[in-house]
Amino acid sequence: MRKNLTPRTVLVLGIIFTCLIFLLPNILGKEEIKLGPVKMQSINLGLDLKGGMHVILRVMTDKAITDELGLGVRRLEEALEEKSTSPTRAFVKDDSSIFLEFPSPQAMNQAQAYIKEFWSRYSISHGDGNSLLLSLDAEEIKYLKKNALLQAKETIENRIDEFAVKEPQIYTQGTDQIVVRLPGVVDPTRAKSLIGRTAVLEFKIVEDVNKNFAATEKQLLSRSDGKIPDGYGVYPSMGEGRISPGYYLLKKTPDMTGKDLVDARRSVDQMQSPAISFQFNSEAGRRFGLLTQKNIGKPLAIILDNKVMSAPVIQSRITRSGQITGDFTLEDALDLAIVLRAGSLPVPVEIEEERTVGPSLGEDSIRKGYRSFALGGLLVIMFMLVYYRRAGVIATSALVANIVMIMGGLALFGATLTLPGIAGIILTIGMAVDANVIINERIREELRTGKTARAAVEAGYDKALSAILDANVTTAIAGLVLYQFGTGPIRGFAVTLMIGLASSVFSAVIGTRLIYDYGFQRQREVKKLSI
Amino acid sequence: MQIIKPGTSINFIGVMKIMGVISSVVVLVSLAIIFAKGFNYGIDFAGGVEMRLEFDKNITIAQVRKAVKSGGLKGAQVMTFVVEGRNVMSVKVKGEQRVIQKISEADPSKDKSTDLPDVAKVILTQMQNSFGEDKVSIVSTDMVGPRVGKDLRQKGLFSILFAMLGILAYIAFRFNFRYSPGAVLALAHDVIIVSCIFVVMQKEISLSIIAALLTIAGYSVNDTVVIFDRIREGHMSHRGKPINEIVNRSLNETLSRTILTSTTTLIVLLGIYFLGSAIIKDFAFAMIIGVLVGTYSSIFVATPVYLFLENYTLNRRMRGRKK
Repeated sequence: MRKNLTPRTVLVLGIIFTCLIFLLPNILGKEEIKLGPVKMQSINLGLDLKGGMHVILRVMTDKAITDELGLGVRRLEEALEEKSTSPTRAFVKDDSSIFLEFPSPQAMNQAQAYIKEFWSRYSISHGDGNSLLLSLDAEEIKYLKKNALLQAKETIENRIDEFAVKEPQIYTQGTDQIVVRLPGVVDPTRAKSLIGRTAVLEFKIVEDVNKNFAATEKQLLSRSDGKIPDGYGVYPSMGEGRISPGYYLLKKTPDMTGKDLVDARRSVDQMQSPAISFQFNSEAGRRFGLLTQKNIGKPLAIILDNKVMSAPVIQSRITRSGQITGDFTLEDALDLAIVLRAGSLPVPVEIEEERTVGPSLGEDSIRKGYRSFALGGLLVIMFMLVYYRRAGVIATSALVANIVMIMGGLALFGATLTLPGIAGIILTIGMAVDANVIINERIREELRTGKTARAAVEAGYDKALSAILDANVTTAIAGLVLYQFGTGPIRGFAVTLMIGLASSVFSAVIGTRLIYDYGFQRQREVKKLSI
Repeated sequence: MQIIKPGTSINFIGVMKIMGVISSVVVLVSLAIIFAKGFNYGIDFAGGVEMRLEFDKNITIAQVRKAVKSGGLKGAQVMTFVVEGRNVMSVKVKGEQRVIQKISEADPSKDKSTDLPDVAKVILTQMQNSFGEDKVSIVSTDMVGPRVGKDLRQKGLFSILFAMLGILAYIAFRFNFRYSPGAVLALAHDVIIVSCIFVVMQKEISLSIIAALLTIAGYSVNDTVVIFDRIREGHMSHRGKPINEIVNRSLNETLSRTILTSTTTLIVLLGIYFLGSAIIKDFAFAMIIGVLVGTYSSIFVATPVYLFLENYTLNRRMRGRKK
């Protein structure tokens, strides 16, 4: 009986050839090769191998809700005033609802009817006395949070764009995380100043320096009966460099904000130390002109993320441009200018995880990975050759095909090779021969029962199949779980492990079988098998 | 060449009882040690900062330790980190939220507390002040916040449980339910023992160790399944023979494969351990122990448990018939 081997030959050679094609960029040492419409890229190296920075930010999406409610209170007050049903008290309660209290039941009912009609985003419930509690719908909350996350991502993208990084990756993860991956960036201390900074810039007039500034918080509050007046807040000044340390009592609502900036650049101040020059758009410039004209002689506090950077005394009317001075290094000033230009984050973020790998460590990992790969592979091949002789040659060819298929698979799927991934490949060499071992041991057994070479090979393969499949599927289950669980480098390991399992089953069950079949076709009567 | 001569018949069944007792004792003692001493979590799970810094050739670890101490960084550990031909050390501070810097021994009110994301900067500045700016450079930095660590700890545990469940289900589906418990107990046995060795050696549990434990789980079952496959086949071809004989024969028949595969896997793992990057040394170490224990457990944990269940159901069926 003569088998038709062509379909299987085409399949095996086709797969190996495809893998080799996709490995061309790596073989030729190029980043990218175009073959007609197909674009082939060399295998992606993980940040742990090529160096770079990986940051996970948590976006404080809850703040978006409080902000929204705060804004709601102000607008409601204004609107209700127009309807002459002003509430006696209105504030955000427990960061989750708006509390409104009215002087009479009539006023409350009137307000309720109005809110029901025009503020449909809020659901209304009654509180004690003549009060209403407004809360946002669950859908609305979800939307606001998601919006804050997306806006934060966009802002960070804009900032990174200005920072000249090659192929940055920025994506959201879950409901409140942003992942930022910057290949080639190795200075971790800049992470915070560039992407972790909220960068809310505010300008507030210091109404009375003698009353509104003090060296300690206690002194400051003693001037206003020991507590912060409604609508005011205490803002610390940096106290580094030339600005005197201390605390300011300032209105909560800013006179101007950084939202109206059209440009921000690094510059130097009169003392030749780094500073940031900014420009307002024309409308804001007009407002700024009015504000400064009205307040000549008073200090203007420039506040960044709730810290007073400086508070220069206004000498004359200022319109569109101004300067922020402070105790900046050159780099600080540059980063701050970028951040101001790109805009502030809608809500603050917190750095949850940060991993930076310098390029030298990655190179060391690759070099050592290569070395252990070469040694491990060589020893296994030698072992197989000594143990199985000619059958060992077949097993070795399967092993080599395996490596080609794993690497080709990585390139084909655009998977990322990480340091644990290299370990995965090396480990697969050890485990890939397993399928061959199972088959060869089985063939030996069949030979011992007195079967002919050909029958023994056929029986060996048939009987080994179930063991090989079941054994590899169970390992793949562990690999799948690992993929689900892991991030970055660990995922890389899971991917190489699973590609390795698939390719080793393929090469052992189909590939090596083919070699035997060709052998038997050439020599009809094989007396002895070298196994 | 042959390691195991054909026709070899080692009486595995005979020693199974003793081995079972030994295995049980080892697992129980391991669990006791793990619970008593607890895992030494790395920063992946405990939160904290680990910086690897390259120093000028002449700077010794003692000097770095002294500099870290004088910087007042509470609980900082300094270790050498092997990168060929270079003088790299790792400075690590584990912490949940922030790191306390002791400025003065006498006056705790002067303590400076630093949020985790800024700790790296503090460490670098401290080293630069001590040794000079051009004598120190960053090789790598890892910072893991407290929430991430907690999340990962839970996910790590769940992932191992999920892997076990998945494997249990697959084996029940492909073989039958009498096979599953043995395979899962064997892999639990392996994972527990490797974990215990990490606890005893005070090695840190990091993300890559969890990866190693899951791979060990996969490897252990791989080994077990090959033996089970033989037993399944034995039931068909040696119908009527006593079950103990079938099992013992299957163990002998698969013995050379078991040893060969473990050997080739160990060869490559030793290669990674001795020649690979220092970052994955512990991973390779865990895998080496795992392969050794996994090979043992396939024969002496998975198979006996299967045998027990098979005999148990057999006896019940017989008793049922007598009645």
